[in-house]
Amino acid sequence: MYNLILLPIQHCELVIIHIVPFGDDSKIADKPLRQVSTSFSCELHATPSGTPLYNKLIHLCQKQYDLASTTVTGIPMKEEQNASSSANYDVELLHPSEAHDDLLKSAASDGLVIPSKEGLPTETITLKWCTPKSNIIELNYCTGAYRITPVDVNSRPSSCLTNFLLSGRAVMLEQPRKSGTKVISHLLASHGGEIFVHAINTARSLLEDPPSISEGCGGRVTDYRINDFGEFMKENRLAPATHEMTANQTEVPLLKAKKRLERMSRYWPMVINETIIFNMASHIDPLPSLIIKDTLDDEEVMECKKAVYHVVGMESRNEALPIQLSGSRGKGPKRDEQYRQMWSELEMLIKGYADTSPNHQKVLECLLDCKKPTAEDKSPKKGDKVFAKEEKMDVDSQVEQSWKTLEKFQKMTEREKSDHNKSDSGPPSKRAKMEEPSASTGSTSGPQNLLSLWTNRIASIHSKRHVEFAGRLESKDNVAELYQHMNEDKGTPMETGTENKQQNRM
Amino acid sequence: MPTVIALDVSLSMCRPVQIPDCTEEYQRRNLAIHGINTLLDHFSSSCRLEFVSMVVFSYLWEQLVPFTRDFESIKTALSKSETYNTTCIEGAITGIRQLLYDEWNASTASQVILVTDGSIGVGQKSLKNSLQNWDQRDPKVPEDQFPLPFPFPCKLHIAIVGNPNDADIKSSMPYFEKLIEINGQGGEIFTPDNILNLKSVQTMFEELGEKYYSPYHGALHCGNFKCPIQLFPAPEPYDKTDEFEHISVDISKTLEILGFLDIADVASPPMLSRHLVLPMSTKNIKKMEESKQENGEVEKENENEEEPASTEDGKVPSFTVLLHGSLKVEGMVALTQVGENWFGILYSWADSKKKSNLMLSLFTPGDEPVNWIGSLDNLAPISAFTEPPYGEDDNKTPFPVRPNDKRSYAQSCVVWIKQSGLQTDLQKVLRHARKLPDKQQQFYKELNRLRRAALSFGFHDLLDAMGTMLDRECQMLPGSAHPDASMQLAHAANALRSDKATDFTQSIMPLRTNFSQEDG
Repeated sequence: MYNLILLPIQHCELVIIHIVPFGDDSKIADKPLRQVSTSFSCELHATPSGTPLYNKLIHLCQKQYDLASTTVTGIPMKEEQNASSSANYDVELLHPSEAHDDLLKSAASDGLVIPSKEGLPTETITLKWCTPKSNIIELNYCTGAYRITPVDVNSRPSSCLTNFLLSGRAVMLEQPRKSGTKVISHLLASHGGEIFVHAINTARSLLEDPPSISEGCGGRVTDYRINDFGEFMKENRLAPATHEMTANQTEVPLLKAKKRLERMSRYWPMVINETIIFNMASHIDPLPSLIIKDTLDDEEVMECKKAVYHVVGMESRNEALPIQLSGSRGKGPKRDEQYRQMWSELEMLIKGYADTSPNHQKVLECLLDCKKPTAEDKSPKKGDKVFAKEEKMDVDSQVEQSWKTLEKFQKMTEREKSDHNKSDSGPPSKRAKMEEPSASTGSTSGPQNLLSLWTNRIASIHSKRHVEFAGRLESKDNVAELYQHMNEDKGTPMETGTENKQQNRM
Repeated sequence: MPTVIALDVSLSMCRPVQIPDCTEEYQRRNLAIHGINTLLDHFSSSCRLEFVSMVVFSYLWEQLVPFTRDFESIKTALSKSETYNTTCIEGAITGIRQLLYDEWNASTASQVILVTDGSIGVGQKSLKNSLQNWDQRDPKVPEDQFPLPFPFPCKLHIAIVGNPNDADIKSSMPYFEKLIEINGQGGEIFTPDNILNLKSVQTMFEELGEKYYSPYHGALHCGNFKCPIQLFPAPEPYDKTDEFEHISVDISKTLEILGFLDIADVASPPMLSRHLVLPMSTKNIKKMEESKQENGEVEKENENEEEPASTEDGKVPSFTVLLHGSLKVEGMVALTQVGENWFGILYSWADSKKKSNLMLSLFTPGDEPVNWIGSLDNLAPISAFTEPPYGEDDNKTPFPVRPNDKRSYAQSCVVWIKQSGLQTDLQKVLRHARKLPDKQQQFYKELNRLRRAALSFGFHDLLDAMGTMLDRECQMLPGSAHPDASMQLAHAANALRSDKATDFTQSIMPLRTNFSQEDG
């Protein structure tokens, strides 16, 4: 019975090396490889000790692992005695013979094959050192990469070459041809403390004269979000997982990466022209980066809401949206149309992540609350319709939502008043004033909406000023009071809303 | 992949073909040329980037047209080809092998299509004769070797312009089958269906084109980004027997991007093959689907497929263009899964004329195709790390993955294989000795390194020799030398001769002198 874990040995090759002291004659002669049985063969080598033994061992290794030899010629090195001048050295390397596959068909005719310079019983292929020009990082078309070792490991020329490579620089090797053309056939470079010889494709390319990407589909589009996607790629880079990361997890790290890419790309317009929200990053930050997260804490939810409120503010002030006029034919869509587009885009973005957690859902709810009157109702006089539609909505959550915001606002009122008075000339108060007319004219439309609009606005101004008090607010929170309001009918919030407004005016 | 079409132009190809109800008289070679033209038409419609060379052969062979994408030039040359004496298949294959080997490298997959009337030649150079001793040739005469199997990946197809029911074709079939078997890299024999006429030969070549020259159509996915694409050249399935296992993977129809890496980190990895990634327009895809559903006529669909994208297509945003642009700007590659446990990278590639395009390079199938990137399955998104692996300001990189042990060339081990190795080490000690007391620390470090190496090798004589050497150095010190130098040299020489010197665990420590105390 074979052990299922261990690999069964199918064949054994025994190599006996008979060593005699240097200078003595061996009484035993070499015996070539002999098949003793179907699963066993044997050979015998006799060698004097010292350098000949070393050569014998290298030769056996070469045969066993199918290694070939390359001699790098013309390596410039500073003289030990005379540092200003440099002499050229050769270094012989061993590596798997596949590295020469492409070379062999022309190497012999070009006189590249010579007997080993280090005295190995093999032939070596000479390749010329090309002084590295600069550290241009490029992707060479390599057909293979193989580990190397210098034949004379720590001789001065060898260690000079290996240290040069280990320091991170790469050397191109040139295949001198009789025709005089220069062909770069190999590249020596170290990766993680190991030196490799890369075989560079020297044959004619199948991809000669390829079409350019600009000639194909989508090639004429000029406003791709190249830089944004660059950021996207950077955020989705990969790195080897550490042991701690993999120890207590069953999921393959690479699958995690795949899932993350899916998550990150749920709403990602490719062209600048196709998006409004990603062109107004300064206005909606940090919402796009927060919403894609797997979890949102309360503070982050607040941040997202703030961003939404900010856009509400922009709309109420009728600020222009950063829209690229493509083709510059006509004036482009009207402003309220732009806002409608913007809201639906924002909704698509947030909806993509709404099912992640209840907190993500909260952000979506906030958006839907804010978006309603503007998105689906172009003139404020159609208030009834909005109201009717709203009732179809999940009333409970909506009421709760607006109450929470209102609650916070009320808690802050006193403090806010004093702050407000102090910085009367500041931009926030200006904005608050600008908003008043829209708030009062809008009072005919759905009362609850106006209220939430207003309180949201105030709350956002507040939270900007008093971030550090958020914790204190929470601890003082009076639960009983919150439910009191819940039980009252819909008229009350409206009243409280006007109260707040009055307070604000004072 | 490059293709060689080899046409038999021996006299037997001039035999007339009996076609009922046909007033015109055709020769076999006319039919063969008609068939080849059909195949060339297929190329120009569905694989226009294919390189084709035309070879004619009889007793000798000749490259009629070198590798080209100008298929019309092949048609022109074919129409002018002449007729020669008898067939010699082995000679033709030897010639083709040389052509492919000279032009392309050992890893470029190619295809050979032998077009013949099914005659195997006569006499010594006949295929029958060749195959009798194909594996018993004298290995010392390289010119005399049988040319198959090809020393590079290459399919061998044989298209027979003859009625498969004819007795002589029936008898020669086993020889052709043997050829494909010896090559062992795929390919097949094509024969017309029962009758021999223009139509049946045309169908035969259409079949060949369909089966072996159909372009790759698939989709590129990156999360929710999706884009229909075409790859050129179409990737070949990977099939190889390793030391421990047999790996056989097909490329999937969906290429899935899993994440991104910096070009500097992937550092010219070994690649199996490279493929251009060309986006397909939605219009063409619709057409393809329609034609497939309606009448399965693939030929018509192909007519439009590779036509230069109309201006309309150029204006519809395509994910590949966005990806290409960002990869180029950022100097990055996209790690892409192309099959089961098979990966590749997508990157921006420019030819010498600076025309850049999106390129897919395939790695060898397996989990760890690039040593310095490590196991691909083990790559995690950077969001999973508590500490950013690329640093806060993108100032470091988690690559390359380092092996656990250091290579001998990366550490300063003592190597005395050659006399020069020992000499260099001794000279180093002497160099430091002459610069005492400045180089005192280095002097003792090197001295102890050598001493330990000598002890490990059982080379005890070296200790005495080193002592003598240092004595001599001491005597030769110039009068201007620091007094500490001679004291240290004498101390070291004595220490090398003492009993303690042979104790591996001990080190020779510098002599504490007044001078050294002053310095300290």
